[in-house]
Amino acid sequence: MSKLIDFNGHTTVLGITRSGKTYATKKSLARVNEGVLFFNTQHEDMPGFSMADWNNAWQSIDGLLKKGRKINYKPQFNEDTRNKELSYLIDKLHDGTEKKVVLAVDEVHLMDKAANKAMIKIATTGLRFGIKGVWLSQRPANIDNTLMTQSNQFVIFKLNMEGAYLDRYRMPSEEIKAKIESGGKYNYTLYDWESLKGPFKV
Amino acid sequence: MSGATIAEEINAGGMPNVETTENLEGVHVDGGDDGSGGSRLDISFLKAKTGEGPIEGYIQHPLNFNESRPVARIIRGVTGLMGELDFALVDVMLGILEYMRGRQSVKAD
Repeated sequence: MSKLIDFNGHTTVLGITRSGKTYATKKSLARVNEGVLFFNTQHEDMPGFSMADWNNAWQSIDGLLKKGRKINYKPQFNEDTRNKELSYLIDKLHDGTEKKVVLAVDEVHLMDKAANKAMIKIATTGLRFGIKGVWLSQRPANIDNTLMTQSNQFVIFKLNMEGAYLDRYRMPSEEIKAKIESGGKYNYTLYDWESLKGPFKV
Repeated sequence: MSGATIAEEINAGGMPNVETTENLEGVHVDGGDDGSGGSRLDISFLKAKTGEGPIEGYIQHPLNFNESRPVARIIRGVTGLMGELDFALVDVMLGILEYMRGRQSVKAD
């Protein structure tokens, strides 16, 4: 069944490399009504998104987000700098004013403690200011616990050997695996703490 | 639009001081949810400064059960690590010390 991801509240998107998670997220984010700031850790191509990096001023990025534009932010490859960029962007984004923005961060498990603190700030108080977090990762075991527990839903693509970790969050890992296998390539399941739906394909 | 670039602001040291906020919007997960994230082991506590003041200032401390200098040093160190001393771990540590001292006294008799 074809279905774009609906970003209600905070979302964690899980899936191994080439599972389709980034493609599905990009395609779904391109259709949302809000502004989107995609922290593009792996510098993926993002058709339809406006390119930005640290050579831009925050004011220009903010201006586009307020107009509902989609931003493909490409951070520096240096890890330390990348973490600082993410912390900076979140601090600017979450300034206590109301807005309608989706902040998506690719490969969240790679971020350091300071960047995680920043993302936790979004996860715990972002929604009341209209900021939704989308956390993408291929290693759920390495995602900060608060980001996981604050997520309203999980979009789960194919994963390897993460069943025990999903069980810890009371996710029906065996059922998820069965649905993914039945749906074929690039499909996903949707878990919202109460029920498991899918498989779907974007 | 004008304004310093993100690179300029970061390199100028204009990094945000991001504070950790309370868990107000989330779902509580039972069993094993220790908030640590399971991602990285934080060993920064190894660099904690010891408690304030000289060791002698801790000899009369209420937890210094035998008013000795060694226990005073332990209390000062734990103060530096934990800030406060009303932790179960502190009770366990000092209780063990007190027990061992008690046993040594019995053997000496």
